[in-house]
Amino acid sequence: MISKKDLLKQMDISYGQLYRWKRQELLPKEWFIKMSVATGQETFFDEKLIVPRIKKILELKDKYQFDELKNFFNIDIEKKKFDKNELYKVEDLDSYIITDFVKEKSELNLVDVIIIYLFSKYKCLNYDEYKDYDFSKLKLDSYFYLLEDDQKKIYMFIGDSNMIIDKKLVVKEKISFENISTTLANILKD
Amino acid sequence: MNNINISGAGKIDGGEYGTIKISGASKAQGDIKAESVRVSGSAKFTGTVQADEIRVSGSCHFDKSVKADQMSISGSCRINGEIEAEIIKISGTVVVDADINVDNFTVEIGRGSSFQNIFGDIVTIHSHVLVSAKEIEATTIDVDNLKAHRISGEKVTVRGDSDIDIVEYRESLEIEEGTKIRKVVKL
Repeated sequence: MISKKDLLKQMDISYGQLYRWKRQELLPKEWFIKMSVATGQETFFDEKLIVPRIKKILELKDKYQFDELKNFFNIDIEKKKFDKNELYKVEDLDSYIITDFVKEKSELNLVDVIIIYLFSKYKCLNYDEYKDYDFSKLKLDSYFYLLEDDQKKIYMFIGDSNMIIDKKLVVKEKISFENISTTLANILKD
Repeated sequence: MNNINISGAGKIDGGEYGTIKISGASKAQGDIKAESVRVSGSAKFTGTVQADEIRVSGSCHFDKSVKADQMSISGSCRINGEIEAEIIKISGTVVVDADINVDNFTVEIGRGSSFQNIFGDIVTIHSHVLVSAKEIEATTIDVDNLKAHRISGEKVTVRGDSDIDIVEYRESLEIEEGTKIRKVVKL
């Protein structure tokens, strides 16, 4: 946890900016956690969530209007349950993969849709070979890696942002689930 | 850490201090960093001031920016630079010529006070006499006798003889009869 004061200092932002972003829903209200301390009540944040979000806001705020920025961090999308019929309409999602996912689950969450998106996009990975994998425990702070060995065989790997990978494998792609959810937010809003 | 106690006339050099207590008249030259600054006389700060606590119950002039955790002014104060504080409590005459970034801002009394832009979480101005500001953006705004160009918040309450060009609100707006508001915008 990081205190509000330390956060402002670390990210070099002001109270005004912090609260404005909260009002604009770029920072979810739930992330502002009030806790009792010796001196009264202080606000704390989960560092793993708030710091990357603020970094992203600072990176994008001069390029986009605030309404457009909101689509990048569509907080609704993180809690949303997806209807399969809605997903079938999306060109970027392979219907064969959607059908297979839907067999096991009646409702799909964001991680499910991210996995569907990844296997739809990276056709070099044969989805049938990964059907039995349990992707359900993955978190939104995961990273997807596409690795290639010297025989040009492709492997997928899902882990943290700091993975130490054998140099004999070439990292062809490395994408964060957060980035994918941003892409999906833009695709799905249309 | 040095503590300074001035009860006559005195000069303070820029630097780092523990507690600075001024109950006479003093001038601080240079940037000041302190744990606590307490003025019950008159003081002029020509450099920036950064302190955990700033308490003014006399008269104070800050030429440059002020940064504090808690700031309370119950006299008269003029601040030419930006203010950044967690809590600001004013019950006197305060004129600020630059932006205020604050968590919790309260003005009680406030005769003759004028502000530029105030950005923060909770802004409360309860004054018997008109207080003026340029723009206020905060989560909760509760003002009584405020003359401003624009105020924008989630929950906004406007009372008394307030005279505001634009009021923007996101969640709720309460306007007392008699207040002058030229434009209301729901965000």
